Amino acid sequence: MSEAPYPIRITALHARDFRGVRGDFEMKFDRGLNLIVGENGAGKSSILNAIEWCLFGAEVTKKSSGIDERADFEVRHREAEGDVSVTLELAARDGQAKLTRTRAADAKKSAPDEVSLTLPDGELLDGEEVESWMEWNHLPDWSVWKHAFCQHQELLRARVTNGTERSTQLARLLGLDEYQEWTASLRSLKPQRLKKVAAEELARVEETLLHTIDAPGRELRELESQLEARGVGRAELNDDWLHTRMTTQLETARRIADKLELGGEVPEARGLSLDDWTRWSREWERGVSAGSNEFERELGTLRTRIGELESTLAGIEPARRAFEDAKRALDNEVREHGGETQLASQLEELSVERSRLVEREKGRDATIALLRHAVEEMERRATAGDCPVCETPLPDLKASLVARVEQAGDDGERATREALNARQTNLDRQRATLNERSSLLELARTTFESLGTRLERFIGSAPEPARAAEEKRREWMKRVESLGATLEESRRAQQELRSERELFELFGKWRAAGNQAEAVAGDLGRIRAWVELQAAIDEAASLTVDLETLAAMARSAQESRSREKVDAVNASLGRHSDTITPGAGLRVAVKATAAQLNYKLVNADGDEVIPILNQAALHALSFSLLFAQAEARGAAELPAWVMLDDPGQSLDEERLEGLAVAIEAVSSNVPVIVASFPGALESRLRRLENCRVVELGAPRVQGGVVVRSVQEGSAL
Amino acid sequence: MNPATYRRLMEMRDKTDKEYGKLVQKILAIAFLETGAEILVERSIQGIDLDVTLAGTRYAFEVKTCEEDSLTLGKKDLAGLEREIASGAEAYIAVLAGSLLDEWLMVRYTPGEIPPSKKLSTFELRPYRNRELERRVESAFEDAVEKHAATAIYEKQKGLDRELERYPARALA
Repeated sequence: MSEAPYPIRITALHARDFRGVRGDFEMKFDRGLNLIVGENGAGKSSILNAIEWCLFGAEVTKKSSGIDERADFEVRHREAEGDVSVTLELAARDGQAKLTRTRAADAKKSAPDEVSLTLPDGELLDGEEVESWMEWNHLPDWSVWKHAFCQHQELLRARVTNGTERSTQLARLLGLDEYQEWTASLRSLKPQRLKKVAAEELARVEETLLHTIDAPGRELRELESQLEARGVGRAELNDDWLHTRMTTQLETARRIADKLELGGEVPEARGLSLDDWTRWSREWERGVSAGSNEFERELGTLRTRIGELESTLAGIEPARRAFEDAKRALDNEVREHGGETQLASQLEELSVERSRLVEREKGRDATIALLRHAVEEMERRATAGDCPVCETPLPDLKASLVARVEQAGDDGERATREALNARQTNLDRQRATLNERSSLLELARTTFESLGTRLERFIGSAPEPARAAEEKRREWMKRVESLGATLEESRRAQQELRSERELFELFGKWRAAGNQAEAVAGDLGRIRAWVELQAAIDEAASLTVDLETLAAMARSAQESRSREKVDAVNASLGRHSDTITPGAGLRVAVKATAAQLNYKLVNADGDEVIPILNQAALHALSFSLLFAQAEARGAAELPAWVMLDDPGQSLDEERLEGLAVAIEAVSSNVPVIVASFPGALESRLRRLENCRVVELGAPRVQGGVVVRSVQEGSAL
Repeated sequence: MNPATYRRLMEMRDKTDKEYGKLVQKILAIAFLETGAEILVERSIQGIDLDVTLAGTRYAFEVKTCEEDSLTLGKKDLAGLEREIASGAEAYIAVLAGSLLDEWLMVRYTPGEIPPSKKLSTFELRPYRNRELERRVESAFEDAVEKHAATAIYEKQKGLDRELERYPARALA
């Protein structure tokens, strides 16, 4: 295969039990125009199918061939029992080669066919070697076959009505099929889509990573906000700031500790970690609380004592005055009425007098009793005028005695007794007054002395107790003031320390979050997957750029070649088109857009023709495209022939004539195989000089293709 | 990018607004000087942004910062780079996008490959990256941001110019 390819042609067909062929069948295709004529079922299509099957195998027997009707395509004749085989004789550089495809009788449906190629020198190739040989010799693949070799009835109109099909053929016609494929392939890789997906994927991964990585960052920003709200800006946040604040707190703590006379040392800020500082601050706060409590107690005691001193000082003067008043009142009383001794003497005298009075009253009572007895005796004796003793008549005696009794009961003793009672009352009152005054004096004295004793307790024995007391009070007041200030200062210091501790805790968290954020990001740079992802994204980006560049290059080359070839193609296409449909003036218009080249079929006025063509015109156009492509391949010395399956359908007389003329013209350049019903086209074609007509007989009951006659044209 | 560097840059961007790009350019210049640039010319007004000689090779940089992940290069920018290529320099577009995960992209400029006045995503520039150059300046840039961000924020370009003047390798534009 070292020599340049040779435009291979089919020269003959051998088929056995292939579809409508029963047993062995042979047919030569060595004329410019090979016409197969037969009624429906005679086997025309089987012959054409046999050529395709031999070249392309399973590719033509399924729906994905692009021909829907091939979905249930059966290769084997239903009556056949042996292997199915088709051999194509091919005119190669050094002679005849034979391509044979065989399907064993017992082969399963999905089993591959056997393919072999016998070269002119007898060498036998099989499998991939056959494919390589065909590729080397530019034999068509199925796609090229469909567009540039064969007119399938099923695809006749689709060739021009389907935009993709049409574009593919026009590109091929312009010799740009490779570029077209490249562009299509490059476009199918969708670099823009790749770019978008890669960018989206990167963004998605970044978002996920950012969310993960930025978690400490978010915490960091939150902490910065909190710190800023407490008056510490982001710019201040560093170890110097912490050291300065710690130093200030420690100095304050040292001062407070001195004042509160706390034991233990306050550490130096240098080298003190935040944790150490926090621990120390808590301990210090507890110490300050304990020290403050003692100060509070002392302060309370002092305040109580000051209160007592002040109340003593406030009470002692009135007590003194009260004492003196009481003393004065007692003295006055004594002076006026005598003292206790005098009063006792008077009472004694009064008692003697009262005794005397009692004696006198006793005598008087005896007298009265005697008198009453005398009166009573006189009354008993009824001697009103006689003395009961001496019985001397005394007429007035009784009256005198009664008067005397009455007089005795109302004599001077009563007044005396009353006077004595009055004196007694007076003396009792004096004694009560004296006692009262004495009691008051005693109370005032006790009070005064008590206050004096209490004052002495505060100031001791001082020559000037009031002054000493005042000095003591001032001294205590000063101490109270000092203690209060110290306690207030320590309270403030404690509050400030707590506040600073909270601030430092925030700072600690901020620093930890910062470290964590940096650690996470630092780690990211070392994560192999991330590095690899970056490299992959770079490669994807490079690939998209390369693809876009290649697509642009392909497009540019395509555009350049289009310009070169469009005139020649339009000449060929226009010729066939005008032959089949006179006056069509058909040509290819190439329109370049930013993304691709578009091919359109336009008329002489430049208007797109597809939308306005009828069925016959579409058929004619389809043939024109096929013929132009085949001729282009032939001109390029590539394997080229045309295979037409019942091309006359849907064409009127005039167009059939035009088609016959076009086929005649094409057949002078590339071999043409036509399968046709008997009729106008067939009769027109069979008259051509370079035509061999193979007429098939009516189909047999048991199947099989029968050659009824072979008529060679005059040019044979 | 180091999160601390990122935060500092964002702080710079928030506080310096339109000057941000020029400030970043000057900090990048300092980073190049710190990595041992033998000669460095930094221009704030006309001409190529940075002209750096590193290990005997002359590099010309058009410096771009972008908040999103896309930028546009004007005809003037590209013409400037092409002039530098003609004068023997390797021309680069130095791009810093605005995400935490973005690093400097040192994009080698080849005439004709990057269209002018078209919105380009940083993704499209990736194929032209010079990773070695990027790695070389990466940590120096982070250090320079940490060191000079406050100057950039409070004293703007004048402050950074003063810092640049401290380097003997810094040549006047």
